Amino acid sequence: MKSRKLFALMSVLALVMLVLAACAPATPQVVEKVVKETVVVTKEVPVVTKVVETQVVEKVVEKTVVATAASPLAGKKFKIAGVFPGPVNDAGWTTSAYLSLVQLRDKYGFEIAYTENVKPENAEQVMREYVDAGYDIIYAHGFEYADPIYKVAKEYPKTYFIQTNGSAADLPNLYTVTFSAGEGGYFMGRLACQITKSGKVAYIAGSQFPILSHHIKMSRQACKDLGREDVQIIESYVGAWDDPAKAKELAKAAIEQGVDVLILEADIGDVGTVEAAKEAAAAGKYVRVISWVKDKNYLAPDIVIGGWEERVPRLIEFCVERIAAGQPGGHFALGLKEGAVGLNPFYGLVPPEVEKDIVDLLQKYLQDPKSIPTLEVRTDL
Amino acid sequence: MFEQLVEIFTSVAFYAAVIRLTAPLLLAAMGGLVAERAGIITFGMEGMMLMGAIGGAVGSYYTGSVLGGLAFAMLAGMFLALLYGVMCVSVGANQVVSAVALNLGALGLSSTIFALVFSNRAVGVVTEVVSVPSMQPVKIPLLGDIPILGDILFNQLPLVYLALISVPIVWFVLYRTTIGLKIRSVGEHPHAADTVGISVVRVRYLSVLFTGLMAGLAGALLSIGMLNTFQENMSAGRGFIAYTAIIFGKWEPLGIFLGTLLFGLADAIQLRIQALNLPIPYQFWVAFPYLVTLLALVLFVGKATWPAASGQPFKREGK
Repeated sequence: MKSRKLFALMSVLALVMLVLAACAPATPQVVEKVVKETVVVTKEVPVVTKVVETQVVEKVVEKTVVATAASPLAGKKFKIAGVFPGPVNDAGWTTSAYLSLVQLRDKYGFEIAYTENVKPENAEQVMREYVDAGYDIIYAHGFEYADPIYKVAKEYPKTYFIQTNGSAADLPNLYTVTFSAGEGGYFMGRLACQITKSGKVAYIAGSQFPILSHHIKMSRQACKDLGREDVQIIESYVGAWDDPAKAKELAKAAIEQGVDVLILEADIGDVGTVEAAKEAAAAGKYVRVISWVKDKNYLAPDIVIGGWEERVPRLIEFCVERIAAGQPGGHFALGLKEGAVGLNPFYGLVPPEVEKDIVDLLQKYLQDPKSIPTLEVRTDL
Repeated sequence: MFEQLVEIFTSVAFYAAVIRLTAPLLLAAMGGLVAERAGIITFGMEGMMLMGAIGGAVGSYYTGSVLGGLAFAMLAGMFLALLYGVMCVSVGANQVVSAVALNLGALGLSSTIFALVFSNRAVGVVTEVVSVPSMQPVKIPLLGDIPILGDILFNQLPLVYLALISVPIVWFVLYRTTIGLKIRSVGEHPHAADTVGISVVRVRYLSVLFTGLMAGLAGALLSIGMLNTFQENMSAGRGFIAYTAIIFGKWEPLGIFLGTLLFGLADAIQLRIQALNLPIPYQFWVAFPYLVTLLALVLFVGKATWPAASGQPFKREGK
């Protein structure tokens, strides 16, 4: 008797645990509408550059497909579902995707839902579930979803699909959108080369992917343009996007080997990179950290430079606007000119002449992209 | 290239990093060893570490002190261990299956607690990395002043010291005390132990709780030791590595120590070699510690012998 009761108790406990487990990953969950006064905290960080216009470049026209008739969804309130690679609480890449949805909800009254921690191999199923549940737009957040989203988009021509960091461009209902690659790498590389004292700069990244590789290539180009071929740009990989303890050890190793400028490309791991830099600074070493995607100066105000901002909500809004206007899918890349990326504050952590050099060059570049002939912007990655 | 390697291997910081990378694995594995020797499979250490990590962060956040964090971490690890104990000691459920369920449960539970405690109320998610009070390295007087060795071993976080001294302590308890004898007999032949009046259930429960305590501390070493924050799934498989270290070390404290040390060494090497930007894909270096451990396992360790009653639930006959 006793053991039977225990067993019942255990079963209940096990069930509770499983439910809790299920809550975190892979269950489509509709986000409750929060109280009306919800303030969106897409912190508008004072951007140094003036973005002239928020017009879309049609560089990619040759890749877009023939237009379908006017969108049947125009003027309608969409139901949009996000498929996210990490937890929405990562305070980084996935949080920015979640905030994109929140912005659509608050601005246009969209109904939103999301699933976090979706592995690429499960993405197809998660997307299908959302389509079957009547969602108009499926939004997959990351290059790793290229295959599943293409497959599902082909099967459901009446549903719209958005993928960040994707590159497919031949389905009328698939909108792949990225930040144009190269600008960030060039400007941050130019910055890094001028503030390193040891001549060693390191990207501390989660894993390698084509866009990042192009940024790194452009960083090296920027050093070359400055005549600083002696500066080494090192790339180090954690092997995961969610292991801050290892990122910290990786950054510590880089610092021991003479690196004094670290570039944050490890998402959740970034906090570890910053910790390593903080310890080095506390030990009296000169060290600077350059943020990427989001300004992480708040983690260590004395060493973390605002760096390069990437506004994910801008990408998503861009795609949804196209969908609402009945414009067909394709591949789109948004960069400096479109206001999707930009420079964050320097917080006085770099010499004034370096700050001026970067800001001035960026202004010049905005007026005439050809003013930096060696900066190769890739929109196809 | 050769000079750079020499530079790596002759630097004190490198060996200090080896110790740092070894410590969380060692701490969890030493805890796991005790339950393993009592016949309980400790595949659930990953979940216990994760609970320890969130417990440490939440405790440190609310109490404002690292000690508070450590207390919470131990309790959180032991909470999961207690559930595990109920499943495999009282109910007699399959231990591996229960451990998998608990690992998944701990991932969900820790993430949920994280979101509840640290969310930005306006949008309902954690939008900025939270910083909580964290542990600082403590230099041991006298020993810390020894050249080279002092910097490698005696200028570390307190939990790292605990990991190192847990090796002789666990060895002593297992082989030189009655408690250890009881633990081992329960793991080898529970029925024989039962006939001489040892409470198998009690010994197993206490051993599992000890595992939870140690794994919880190992998790805290990540969240409020090496870092000062929590991130979802931040144990990142270290609990599983600790488990394999127990097998690698053939259920002996010294062997386990060497196993975790080998892994830490290989990891410290690859983290540094990456910065040399050799024409070898980085994926190889990320996998390097696992490859080295695997190779050592095949070449030098050989066949493992499990505690005879490992994984078997104990039921008294004729009841």
